[in-house]
Amino acid sequence: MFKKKTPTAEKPLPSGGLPPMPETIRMAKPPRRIDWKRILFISLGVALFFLVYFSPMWPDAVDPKGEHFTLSHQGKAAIALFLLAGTWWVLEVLPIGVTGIAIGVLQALFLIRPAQAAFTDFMDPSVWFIFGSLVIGMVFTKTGLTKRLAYMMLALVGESTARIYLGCMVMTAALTHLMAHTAVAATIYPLLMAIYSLYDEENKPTRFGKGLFIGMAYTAGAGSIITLLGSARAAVAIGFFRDFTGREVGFFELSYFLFPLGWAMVILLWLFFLIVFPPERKTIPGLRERAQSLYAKLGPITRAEILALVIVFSAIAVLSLRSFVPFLQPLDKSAIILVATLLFFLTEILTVKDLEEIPWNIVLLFGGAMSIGFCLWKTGAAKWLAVQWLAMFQHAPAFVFILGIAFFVLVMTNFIMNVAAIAISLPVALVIAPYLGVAPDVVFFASLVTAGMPFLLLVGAAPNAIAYGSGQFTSAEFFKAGIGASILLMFVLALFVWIVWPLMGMPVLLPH
Amino acid sequence: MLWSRKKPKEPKRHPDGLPPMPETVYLARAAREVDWKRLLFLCLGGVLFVLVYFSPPWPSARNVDGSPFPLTPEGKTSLALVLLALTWWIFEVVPVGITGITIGVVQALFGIRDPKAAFEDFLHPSVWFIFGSLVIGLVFTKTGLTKRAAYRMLALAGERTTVIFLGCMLLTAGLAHLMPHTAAAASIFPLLRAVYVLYEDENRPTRFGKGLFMGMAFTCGAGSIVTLLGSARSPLGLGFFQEMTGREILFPAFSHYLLPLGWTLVLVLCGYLLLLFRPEKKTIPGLRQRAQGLHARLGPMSAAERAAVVVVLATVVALAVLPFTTASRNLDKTGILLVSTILFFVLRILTVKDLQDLPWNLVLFFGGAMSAGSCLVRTGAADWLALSYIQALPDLSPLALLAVTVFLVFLTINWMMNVAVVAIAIPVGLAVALRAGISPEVMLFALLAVAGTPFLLLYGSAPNVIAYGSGQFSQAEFFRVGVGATLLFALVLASFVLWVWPPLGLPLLSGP
Repeated sequence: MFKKKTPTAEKPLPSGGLPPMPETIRMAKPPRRIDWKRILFISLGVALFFLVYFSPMWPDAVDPKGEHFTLSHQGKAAIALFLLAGTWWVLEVLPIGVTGIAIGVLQALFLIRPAQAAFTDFMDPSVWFIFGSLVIGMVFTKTGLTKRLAYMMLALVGESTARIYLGCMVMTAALTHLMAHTAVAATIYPLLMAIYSLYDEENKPTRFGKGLFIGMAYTAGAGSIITLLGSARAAVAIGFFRDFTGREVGFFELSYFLFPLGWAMVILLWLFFLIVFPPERKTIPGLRERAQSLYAKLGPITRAEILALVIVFSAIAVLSLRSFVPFLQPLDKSAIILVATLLFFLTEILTVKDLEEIPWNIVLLFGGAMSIGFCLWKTGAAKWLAVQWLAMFQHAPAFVFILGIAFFVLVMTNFIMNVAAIAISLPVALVIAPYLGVAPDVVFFASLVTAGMPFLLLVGAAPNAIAYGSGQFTSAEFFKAGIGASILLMFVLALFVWIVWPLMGMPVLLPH
Repeated sequence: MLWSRKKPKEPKRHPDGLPPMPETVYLARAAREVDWKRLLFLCLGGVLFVLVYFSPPWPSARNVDGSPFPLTPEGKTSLALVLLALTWWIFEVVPVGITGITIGVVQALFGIRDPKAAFEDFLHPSVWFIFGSLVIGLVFTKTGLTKRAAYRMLALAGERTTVIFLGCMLLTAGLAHLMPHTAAAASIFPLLRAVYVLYEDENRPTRFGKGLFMGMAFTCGAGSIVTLLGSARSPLGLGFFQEMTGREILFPAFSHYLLPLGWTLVLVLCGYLLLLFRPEKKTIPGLRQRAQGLHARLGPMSAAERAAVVVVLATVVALAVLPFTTASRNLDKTGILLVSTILFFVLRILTVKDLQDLPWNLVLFFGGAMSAGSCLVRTGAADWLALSYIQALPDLSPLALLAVTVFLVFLTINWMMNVAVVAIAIPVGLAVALRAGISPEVMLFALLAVAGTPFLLLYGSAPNVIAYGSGQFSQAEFFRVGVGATLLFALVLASFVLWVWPPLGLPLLSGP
């Protein structure tokens, strides 16, 4: 098949000690490197799945009242699927969205749930909500609104490094009120790189760099718990909460309880980083002028920017007014945010090209997270797990129980994407709560808080991974900083559960 | 404020009579062109919706037994929504996917259906099925399998123009069995151009060229009706069928009836085009050698290519065979197909980037079509339309009713995207069939067949437009040739409905 190359000249070419030229020259086969680790991890997930799937029936769970909960065959299969998905998500052997698709496929093929149910859950309204907020993030970036905000911030903050820490963290947290923390991290990251280049010319790791980038990742998490727009998990969690309790958590109610906690965490994290990673230099000279000139280069605010702001703020206004105005009540949350999406396209701020550039991998991941969440719940697996978990807390006081749940979620959220963590933990927690006389509200908010702050592992959330791209820290350093930050978080949460939230009117214990 | 005006350093006089340079130079405002046509159609859609939505209740239709069948307010709103969607789709004022999203949003905001039901339909198993076939198309293009198949075919076909022509047609039809016809046309078109250059150097229109490229458009359509993988319309149509009759049509059953029809059509069309456009030259000298050379240059099949072929063939075999064994009868066809998607990623034939490169705009479009169609079914609007339609055509025999319905769909299919037509025509057509005693399967297959054969106008389908890109024929020529092709199609379809399908087990009339 290959053309044979023969030397045209008869005389031997100068060989310089090499063996004589062979008559035919072939292209060597490119060496194929087999990624054993990847194959191992893929097989590990599959092995776990089959191990659980074909294991004999598991024992019933027994609740404090002596009632038995049988784990059905489908329920066991759902747990098997959860293990497979967990393994693949943590080790990221496939694109996370493709693992999402696998969740739907395996449900259909192993008859865990009817195909229709398994597949349609991918476009649950809460997934559409995430879609809508990803679009808003995209518009902010595309129109240049993020840059404008960033330069304005730097011009205000000035040259002291401690204040730059604070400014960057506050801005990251503030932006997560409006857009998904993933999108915030992606847009803040280039800005932080620009700031850092003013601090250290050679872009070598410094304490300031570590603090700046890890701080961005952490505060993106802390800020994202405050509004519904900050992340996907809140919308998912509200969906579960409604399905379990029949009550709706409003846009405003959510922020009312989580705003103080989120901002307390942001400020505390700032102090934490000043202690753990104190900047080597006190000031960065010349930063203010640079920011001003960059801002000037942006020119006056454009029509697209104004339009985008108007659309986003109207959407947020309608979303928050839904809780007060009965007229707006029946409007679906996802539909409202999608109206904003439609308007972006109608006003041609976005085009078809942007539509295709939406991170569909993430949308499919969230779809898969919804599907596995519903699968665990509808097959009764969530209930079974819940009751098993409950056995450990049978005699614990309510306060310990709440923190126990929160800690469980905190660990889970580090290992799996935080939407998936909430999708798996919350149904379990909501089932246990009534047994211990704990109100579902406090369980909901406590797990939402910890689900948003995966401080330990890079796979915990996209901002972590984005920050890692700066090359300022190793994953071990991230982990070490995360231990302190996680302990801090648990203390703050304990304080809120114990004192602050009850004072704000959140039901913590069920009335007897 | 921060925006500083640019000042010229030293004013200079221009020698060529221009006015002196002004003291301050402003950036001129970018001229904004208003696209009035787009605005007009945008509003037209909105106005149609509002008119129908606020119109007084429409008269009831009469059931077959004479009892009235009222149109519910939700039904009327869903008709309004369909008008809006069709207007926007036809004039493409926003990306088709965005119109798709609009369908979901309007259903949720105007209370036509529960938001969950409306939004979930966007990833109905039928849409997932289309997704899977889009992925197969992507893999064929990415691994270069289409090219390899084409070179093989040419090397086999030899140098006689008629044989080459037939070979091209058969290859095109064959590809349209495995991937959506749009993808098939897009990937075969460059190869046909390469063949044509060998026939006629200067790319002037010739009879051979006209036959070749029109033939590509026609056989793409005819080949795509054979399997479920060939187009988006077939899975959608089957989805509606299952929703309305509760019966599922399996992959092999579908091809059992449509494979004879599709191939008869392909052969008849080939004969027709050969008669009409007899090639000027008897042979294309040197084509075989050229093809062999090109094939050799591709080198031996790469591991990725081989793996892709194995996966695709295994999937098709699985889809065709699994429903016949007792153990696997319940396996969902979408699940089986999506296993191939996951395998492509596991084998690293595709990566995250390819996931992003899928035509998501179209996926949303198909999702919207699914949601709109099932909205018509669920609100009773499809039944109402069907009854009004039967009422308007009294005293027609079932066969005549079928013929009229097919003809109406044929009229629309030539200037609208076929998926949009299918989303409305199939629910209504099936409702007509169920009321008039026509076998719903016959109605479904006839409508799907006609939806795949828009032979008159270029807008009918993407393959037509792609073929037009060859510059071999004018729109008028296409229309003239299309009239004959359409008549042939009508003859073939009629003989199938009357004489071929009944012995295959598909009588025209449904049992009492």
